[in-house]
Amino acid sequence: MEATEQLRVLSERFGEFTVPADQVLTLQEGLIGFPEYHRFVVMEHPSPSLLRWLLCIDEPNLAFAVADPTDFFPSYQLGRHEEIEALGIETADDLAVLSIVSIPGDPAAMSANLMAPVVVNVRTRVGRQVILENGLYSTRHRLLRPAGP
Amino acid sequence: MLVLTRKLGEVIRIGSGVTVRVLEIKGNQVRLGLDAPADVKIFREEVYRAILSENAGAALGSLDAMDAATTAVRKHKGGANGVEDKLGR
Repeated sequence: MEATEQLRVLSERFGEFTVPADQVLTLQEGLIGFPEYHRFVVMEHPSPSLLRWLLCIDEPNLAFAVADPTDFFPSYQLGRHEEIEALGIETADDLAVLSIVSIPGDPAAMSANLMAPVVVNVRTRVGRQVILENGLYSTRHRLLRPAGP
Repeated sequence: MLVLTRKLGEVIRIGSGVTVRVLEIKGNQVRLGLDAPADVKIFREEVYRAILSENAGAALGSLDAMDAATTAVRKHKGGANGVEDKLGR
């Protein structure tokens, strides 16, 4: 088996990571508000859950919590979108969707940005953050139901 | 700021590839028709601002925030066992 090239990523804030080069995602336009950073990697947290890390390789102190929106919102749909088609996504197998999760002081109130998912073509590992203007989704959907009385 | 006056149906061209046409004027609303190359993204300003501010606010400040969030998710939804992961790791 051929050894994959490993990237060493040192983050003052989050620690040190080794990332196989073939796991890198390229967001050619960056995230909205962070246009200068293009290379990211999705990683499991040490205690795995439905949340994962979206860590920026170009600026390792920049990271986000992300989730597959359908794990929390089973009926979530992107709909047709020019920018998604432009990624060359041909079948559902090519597509991965990440919603950026905001974690406030009370983590139980965390919310996902369903309006602006990061859409990735898994084959090319190229993605972009798109804005869905279908009127269905906002930037803040609570992930966890408040605990009952 | 450049200020131009246009009548219904008239067009403003920005660079060689972007045009803005006044389609309809009704009370305090103006409908505009925009044409631009695919690499020029067009957003309503308030939508763009909302996403930008949400992204900036979502950037993680520490490992602790992720720890706390992971714990909360596991408590509500269980671990990630069996979750299909197309992006690896």
